Formats: sequence, C-alpha cells, structure tokens
Amino acid sequence: MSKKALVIGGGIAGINAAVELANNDKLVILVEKNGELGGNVNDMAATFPELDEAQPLLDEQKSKVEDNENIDIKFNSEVISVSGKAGDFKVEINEDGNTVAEEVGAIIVATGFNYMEPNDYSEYGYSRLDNVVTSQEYERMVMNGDIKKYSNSNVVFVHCVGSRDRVKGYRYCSKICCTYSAKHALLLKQEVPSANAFVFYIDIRALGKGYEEFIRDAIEDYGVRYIRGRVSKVINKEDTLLVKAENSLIGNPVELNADLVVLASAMEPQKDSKELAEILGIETDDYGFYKEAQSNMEPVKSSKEGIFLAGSCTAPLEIRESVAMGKAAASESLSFLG
Amino acid sequence: MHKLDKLSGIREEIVADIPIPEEIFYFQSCVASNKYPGIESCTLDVLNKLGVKPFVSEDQTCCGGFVTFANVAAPTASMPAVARNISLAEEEGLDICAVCNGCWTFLNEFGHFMNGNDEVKESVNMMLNMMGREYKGESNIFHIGAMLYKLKDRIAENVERPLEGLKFATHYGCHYLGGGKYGAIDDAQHPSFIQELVEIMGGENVDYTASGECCGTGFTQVINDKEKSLDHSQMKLESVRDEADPDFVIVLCPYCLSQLDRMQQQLDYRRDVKLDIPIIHITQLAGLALGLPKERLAFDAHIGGQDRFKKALNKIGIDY
Ligand SMILES: Cc1cc2nc3c(=O)[nH]c(=O)nc-3n(C[C@H](O)[C@H](O)[C@H](O)COP(=O)(O)OP(=O)(O)OC[C@H]3O[C@@H](n4cnc5c(N)ncnc54)[C@H](O)[C@@H]3O)c2cc1C
Ligand code: SF4
Repeated sequence: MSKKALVIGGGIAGINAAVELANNDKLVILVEKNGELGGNVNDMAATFPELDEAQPLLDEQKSKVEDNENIDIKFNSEVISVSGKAGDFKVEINEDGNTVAEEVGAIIVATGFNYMEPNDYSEYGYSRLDNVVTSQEYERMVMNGDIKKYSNSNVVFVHCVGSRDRVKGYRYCSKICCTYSAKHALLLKQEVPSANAFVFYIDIRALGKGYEEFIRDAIEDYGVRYIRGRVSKVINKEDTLLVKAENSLIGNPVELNADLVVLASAMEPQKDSKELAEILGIETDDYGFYKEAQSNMEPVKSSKEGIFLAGSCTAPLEIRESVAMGKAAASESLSFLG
Repeated sequence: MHKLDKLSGIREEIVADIPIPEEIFYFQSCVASNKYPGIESCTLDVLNKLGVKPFVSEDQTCCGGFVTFANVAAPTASMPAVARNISLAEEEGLDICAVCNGCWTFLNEFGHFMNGNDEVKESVNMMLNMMGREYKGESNIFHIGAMLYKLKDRIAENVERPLEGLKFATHYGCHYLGGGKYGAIDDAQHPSFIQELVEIMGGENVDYTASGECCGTGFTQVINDKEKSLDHSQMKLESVRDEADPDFVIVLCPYCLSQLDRMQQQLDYRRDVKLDIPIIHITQLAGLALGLPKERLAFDAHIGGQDRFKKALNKIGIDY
C-alpha cells in the first residue's frame, strides 16, 4: 500500500482533507486546476451565519496547506488517468503542461461546484442589462466597495434562479441561497443603511444551525422586505430597472423600481465533472454531482473502493458541511494508506 | 438599450434550419387580408423580389385559431381546419409561410400536437377523408419574420429606399415569442432580429419600457372586458409615445397591428388620449425599404398615426 494520498481540488473541502491527512503523517498530493487555492470562497466577502470576514478565515486555511511539508501542491494541474485499485492506484497528472506519474493509496475528490451563468433566464436581463448581477458578482461588489454607490437605492434579490425549475434549470434546490441572499441584504443594510433591500422568495429554506435566526434578524432588525412571489421580468426603464413580480400572499402584481438586481443563481456541477468521473471510474447522479455509495450511511464514499468524496462536488453545500466532509473523507482514507 | 453586443438571443440553430425555397405556400390571414390589405400585397411583392415565389390557394380557410382563442369552441373543434389547411400545402409539396403570430402558433402547435398523437391524427383524418383529403404532417410552418431574417442578405442587396432618418420601435407579440415553443428564432424577453433588419435597411432603432408587453388584445379580454384591454393598450402606446417617439412601430402580427392601430382612435374618443403612432407590419417595413409603391404599401387602410405617416413618408421621398 502506498503511503501517499491524492486530493483533487484545493477548495475548502480539499484543503481540510489534505491537512487532516498530513496531520496523520501521510504524504498528500493536492492537485488544483487553477493557480490558487480556496475555490469559490475566494469570491466571498463574509460568511453566514455569523458574518465573519471570509478572506482572513480562508487565508488561515490556505496557510495550513502551504506551510505543510507533507503536502505537495500542484497548481494548474489535472488528473489525466487512473488505474489500479484501492491501496495501489497509479495516476498520471498533467502538472502545468508536464505529465507526472504517481502512486497513491487513496483518492479524495473535492472539485466543488460551478456557479451557473443565468443567461437562459433572459426575463431577468442578465448579460443584457446593466445592474443585473449574480450573487457571486455581488460578493465581489461588497469586497471592492462597489455597493457603496447604492445609497438611497432599491436593491432587489431574486431567489431560486435556475434551481427548482425542471424546464430551464435544475430540479434541485441549491440549499443555501436563501441564507446567502439574507446575508447579502444584511450586508447592504450594514454598509449602506439608506438603501432598501427587497427579497423575492418562493418559500424560505434555512436549513442549518443558526440560519433561521439569521434570516429573521435580517427581516426584524434590519428591515429587509421579504415579498413572497416570483419576479416575472426585469426591464429597462429610462436609467433604472423596472422589476415586475407578484405578491402571492396578497395576490397582486407588484412593480418596483430598482437600481440593482441580484440573482441567486444555481450551484451546478463542474462542467467537466462527468469526464473526471469517467477517468476515476466513479458514478455521478443525473446532474453530474458525484454519487455516494449510500446516501444515508456512506456520505463520503464514492461508488468505487478507495475513492472518497468531499464538499460541494456532491451537491450544493455550505462551508461548514464541506469542511466536515473533507475531514471525514480523510479519516476514511487512512485505512488504505500504508 | 438592448445590448446586442453583450448577448444576442437569436437561436442560430433554428435559423440555420429554415430553408430558402423557390416557392412557398403563403398562408392568408383573415385580419391581414380584410383589414390591412397592405400586409398581403407587401408579402407577395417582397417574397417575389427576394426570389421566393408565393403560392396562393383559393381553398384555404381561416387557420381556426379565432374560435379557440375567443373561447367559442373547444380546441379540438378547430383541429380539422388546421389539418385541412396544412394538407393544401402538402398537396403542392410546399412549406408554409404565415404572416400572423396567431396563424403561425396555431398551425405549428396543433400540427405538432397531431404529429405526436396518433389517435388524434387518425380521428382528424377520418373527417378529412370525407372531403377526399389527408393530413400527413409533412409541411413546415415558418413565420414571415423569420423568413425575412433568413433572407437578410438578399434584403441588404435589394434596398432601394434606405430608411435613413427614420426611427423604429418594435412590438414582437406574445404569440410569436412567448407562444413560439417550436421554432421562434429569437429570445422571448430580449428579441433583436427586427432591430437587425431595421439596421440593414438604414433605419434607427428606438426602445421603450413596455416593448415586451402584450398589445392589449388578450383575446377574451378585448371581447369580454374592453376597458381592461383599453387600459393595457393605453399604457403601452403612451410608453411608445413618451419614451421612443418613433416614426413607425413594427409588428409581426396583423392582430397586434389592428389593436395598436385602432385603439388609438378609441382612446381618443373615449378618454381624450392623443396618439399619432403609425403601426406597420414587418412585410410593410420590407416593402418600404425594397421600394414598393405607396398603393402596395396601403398605409391609408391604417386608422391611427396618419399625420405621422405623412411626415415620415415624405422624409424618404414618398408623396403621401
Ligand atoms: C454567492 C455565494 C455565497 C456563499 N456564501 C456562503 C456563506 O456565507 N457561508 C457558507 O458557509 N457558504 C457559502 N457559500 C458556499 C461556499 O462557497 C461553498 O460551500 C464552498 O465553496 C464549497 O467548497 P468546495 O471545496 O466544496 O468547492 P469549491 O469552493 O468549488 O472548490 C473546488 C476547487 O476544486 C478545483 N477543481 C475543480 N475541478 C478540478 C479538477 N478537475 N481538477 C483539479 N481541481 C479542480 C477548483 O478550481 C476549486 O479550487 C456561498 C456560495 C455562493 C455561490
Ligand atoms: S435555497 Fe432557497 S433560494 Fe436557493 S433554491 Fe432553495 S429555496 Fe431557492
């Protein structure tokens, strides 16, 4: 059995898997497609449910990997072939243009999610109108101070864009956009108190410790206006946006002038997730998320022995759960590392 | 205001599938042929000029849509009319070109429905057999707007009367974009192909907030609740007047044309709302650019916008 482990993906899940293995005296090869660690958390201003600043948290995590001599990070790299079996995998990695061969005992897949570009939802005008952005772009606007210019403005947050939609999007619920949209409205009210925040929702799914209270605080303490109903379209009106929607509690149409519209788009599988599954010989679900060996009892085992799953490559997940899966996957790998 | 440079919603794969035939079955529209003869004459002349011969059938009837949209009869009652009309084109081995959003949607969707439901097709054919006909489902149905877009290069080569100095706004119509599940060539919310044609013809595009709104007909509405229908048309037309102030509004559908045109007079009589907005069909737009004489454009059959018609047409050298 090889003593080395392979972790694919250097997001928050992969980082935690690698650190956990290294702490157990295992050698880790961490393959990251991009030139930096951190994945989607790099695009984050603050985290729910405590509103901690995201970047210092992430830097702390990154340094645990970067300073660790048991971990060999390969940037701009991808796995190109895998053979052998649990305990004795032979892998080929394209490391920044060169092919290198490695032998590893276990593999942890932590390749994360892709944030959907809502171009098919032309009713919301994304890519067509100025001042219509995705939630991920909004995080950047908070970080670089761009939201400051929305004083005395109306900002509209739209839930479930691309999720819960079997026609144009995905059937699943992206699970955390209710909570991060509340975070976005709350950040707006904190940074720009004169701005008005409106959130259009179908129902509110606050599935995590402290999430319900977090959303209630946004409504009760910060005066964020929640309107139950779908937005039907966003159109240009002179130099602002006109949001047309319904209020399904009252049963009336609603029209609202907005200066910024933020779309909580779906968290979708990585575009190349099925190709990687093919290389690894593991199963995906219909969408392309990696499939657990058993959904209740084996959350981090893939369909193939010796290959484990961690984080949002399995489904839309928040940080806390991605971290937990990373650590759990590391622990389960230990039995395949000599 | 539409950011064509950012993201065009034109569905190139559908445009690619539209053939450029030598001949096509021109599907007459009740509203076009009776209320706005210019749509018909322009369709015939424009198609001829662009090298596609229009075939006109004496046997064609109403598409059958009216009775369904107006809730006069169950959809199944007009299915045989759809099948019979399409069979006329099949007999000639031709595809169909519709000038009306209603005809186009109706023939397309019902055709699609029959093609996918053998039982329905059989029962409809039992009726057609009594007339000595059969519906096979072989002819494709294209909208004239999509045909003209497909023929845009030929249009560019044949512009005889550039539309310079004129401003154009658009109204695509719900039943083309929203109802066009099977083959609308453009995005339902941010369409742009008419604007592209206007540019090719040398005109200037102007936009207004209510461009994506219904014309106000909403079939049962105009029949059962006229005030509601008037409210909606008023909102739309005021947005056109106050924000875009165009010389022409281009529509794809004779029924939208009729609504937006004739309601101007009603809004004046009933509510003292003053509007002077020429509403024209896309084939009349093409007719203008391709240099058709004013008799074939037949703008004098339009009720609203007559003062503006005169000013705009004089600008491009038509003595109106
Ligand atoms: C707008 C928004 C706001 C959010 N706010 C919060 C919040 O406040 N609190 C919270 O808990 N969560 C939040 N999240 C969720 C959070 O982003 C995720 O939980 C977290 O990013 C998941 O980490 P991950 O490691 O599973 O995946 P990712 O962050 O996606 O990382 C995956 C990594 O794998 C790499 N990779 C991908 N494919 C390959 C490959 N084939 N080979 C090698 N490497 C590869 C990627 O480059 C990336 O570095 C938010 C998400 C969004 C979209
Ligand atoms: S988490 Fe909320 S916003 Fe996101 S898809 Fe589910 S219900 Fe919609």
